[in-house]
Amino acid sequence: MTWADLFERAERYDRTEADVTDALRRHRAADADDD
Amino acid sequence: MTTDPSPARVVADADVLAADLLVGGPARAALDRVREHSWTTLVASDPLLDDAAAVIGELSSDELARDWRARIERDCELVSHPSDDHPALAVAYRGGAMHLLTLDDSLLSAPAGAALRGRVETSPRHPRAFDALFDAESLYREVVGGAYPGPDRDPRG
Repeated sequence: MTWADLFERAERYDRTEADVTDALRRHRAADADDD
Repeated sequence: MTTDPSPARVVADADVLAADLLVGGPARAALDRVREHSWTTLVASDPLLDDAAAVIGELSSDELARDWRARIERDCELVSHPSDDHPALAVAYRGGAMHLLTLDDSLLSAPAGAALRGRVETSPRHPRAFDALFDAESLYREVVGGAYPGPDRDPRG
């Protein structure tokens, strides 16, 4: 699997930086709650 | 165990790793600088890659997250750290990464930078800043020596 293949597959999801930062914040907050 | 700090060693927080795949833009431009030079090292840890894969899985598909994980593990050097440490900061410290790429404003703020200096020899930077500041010629002279031959890897390979 090349990076070119991965980037091509990822394009269809049309995500933004805000989507990513929000998802990581939620994920790490959930992890912290579990501890 | 820690590795001596090097300007050729880079850690990307989970937001930058996920944005590289799903968004492109500054995150991809910054990580292309690492991918296209074999003498640079992307440093990571299992917890850091777990975080990025969870974000990728949530925002795209589990299959893409799984394939991304398999690919990134070939490209990075993994270090270990306590599970309750902040993954990117712990990797920077233990893996000797002098550049920490992040989209997290709390790490990019001036107070955070001041707090880190003296404890960890790393500079948190937005990927856009890293891409703008990355000087391959001078870095090559410093870490390898001799004349910079240009990129030696396909960043899309």
